[in-house]
Amino acid sequence: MADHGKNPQVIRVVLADDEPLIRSGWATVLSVHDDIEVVAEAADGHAAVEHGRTADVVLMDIRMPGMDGLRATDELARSAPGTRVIVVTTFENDQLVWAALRAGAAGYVLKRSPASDLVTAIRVVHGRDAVLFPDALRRLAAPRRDAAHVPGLTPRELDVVRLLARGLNNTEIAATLYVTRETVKTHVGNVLDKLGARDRTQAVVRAYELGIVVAGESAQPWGR
Amino acid sequence: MLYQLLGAALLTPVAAVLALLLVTEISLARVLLLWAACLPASALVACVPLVGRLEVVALRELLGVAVPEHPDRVYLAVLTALHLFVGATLSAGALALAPGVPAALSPGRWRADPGAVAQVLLLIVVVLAVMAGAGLGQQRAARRLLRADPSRVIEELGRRQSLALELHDSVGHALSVILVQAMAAQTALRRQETVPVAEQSLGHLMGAARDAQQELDVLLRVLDEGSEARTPTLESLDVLVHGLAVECRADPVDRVPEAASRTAYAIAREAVTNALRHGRGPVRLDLAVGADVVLTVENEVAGRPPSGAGRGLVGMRMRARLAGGTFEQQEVDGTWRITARIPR
Repeated sequence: MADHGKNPQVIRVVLADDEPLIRSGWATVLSVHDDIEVVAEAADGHAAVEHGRTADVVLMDIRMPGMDGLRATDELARSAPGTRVIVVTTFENDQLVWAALRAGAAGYVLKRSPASDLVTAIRVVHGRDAVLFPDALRRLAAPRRDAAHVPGLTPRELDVVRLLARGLNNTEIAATLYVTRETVKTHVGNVLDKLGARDRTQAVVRAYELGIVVAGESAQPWGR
Repeated sequence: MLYQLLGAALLTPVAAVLALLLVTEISLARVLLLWAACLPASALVACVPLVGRLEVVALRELLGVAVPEHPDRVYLAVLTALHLFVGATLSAGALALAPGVPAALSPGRWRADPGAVAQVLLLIVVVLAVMAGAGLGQQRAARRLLRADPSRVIEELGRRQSLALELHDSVGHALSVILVQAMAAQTALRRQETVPVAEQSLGHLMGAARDAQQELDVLLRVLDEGSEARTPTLESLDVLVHGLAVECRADPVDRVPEAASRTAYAIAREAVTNALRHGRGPVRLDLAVGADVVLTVENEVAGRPPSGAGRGLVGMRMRARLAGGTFEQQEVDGTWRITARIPR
């Protein structure tokens, strides 16, 4: 048996869903991956927050009795910035998904997603290096007409945020822009600061909302 | 009758002003012009909010129409305009006849020309009959147009929304469970030692599929009944509990709209049947009619409390939710109770 909770390579996951059969099913699916360990199950938002504080990733159902997944995500984003939340939803065109992303979720998966997507999602958000499923994010993107203040990003920072929105990680962005990874990290840091974002996902969400990145934008100035 | 006079009275100020402007000389053409001008004037007056509120009172008190809290504004304005115009026309007709009536009905006249008196009497009867007839017609129109819901469009939308919610919750949820358990079974089958886990998962999967099919079955049955509108209303509650061990206490149900009444009756029937079949001792049924219709049915639990997914319970929950209401079931100290709340 592995050295539970101490191996830094293992991603500690909490499963939050009010349906026990969903939790047990996921637990079985995830049990065969050595780098993922389910450390707790939660049937409502309160339990999700409680167990989530010490976990790496929380798989969060949105509709739960008592405290729902939205409020639990918001609570975790504020009190446990180290914990990533992936919201889980039955339907793709769910208005609540965008609300959850704004509340600080790092990404979302559908309940019908194949097991490999679930595992990828957990690894990507834990790595923090890239935005999860950027295509899905673009489909959900809802620009807000009332965007009052658009922060001034430099042209380079604009390039970086557009590449983030395409799901590229630091190494890929560095290769695309012919700069070092360190430079990319600096740019990303500045972008997060200027957009008031907690992480890359939130930065992309904000960028869509402010119209800095336009959903469906395909013409890239840097070519392919 | 009073209803028509009220319509005339409401239009009088406007009609008087129009009369001053239009009837510069007394001629049939001018009077007909005034009469025609009163129609658009009625429509305009009917759009005044205060007049609309007065109309609601008039419909409730004088015609006995159960006007909902928020009636459809367009329909209400149409009814009000009709009320004003018809009322003014009939009242003006009656008024025009009135001066001649005492003279025509004097004893001297009766002796001299009984035929003419009979004609006047007949005319009076005809005017009264037309007023009453118009009143009945307006009452029917009001009942048809101002139904319990603001408009049929919103009712239809609401119904679709509850249906979507119901499908989301029952079938959508079940499909998620089925998919996740199927993935679990697939994963567990890869290793010899986890094969029993796979078997378990397949068991859960089949259970979820079975439940979903049952819920869908009930949902379709409830929808079917709804479209046929054959279910009795709460008026038949007495018939339902007659001769059964049911203590029934119910508020008057005459103000409950038909759709809500049918839903409440169907839930009551299902709940009483359930309680008699699975519970013990007399069933207590309480029907409170307030802002909502609240139905409570309870009796003592016999043995095991009913399981959450029982067919009857699923049906009651769906009926309540499709009507925009809520349904709760609980067991407290050996008493099993269901509470259905249906908006009026």
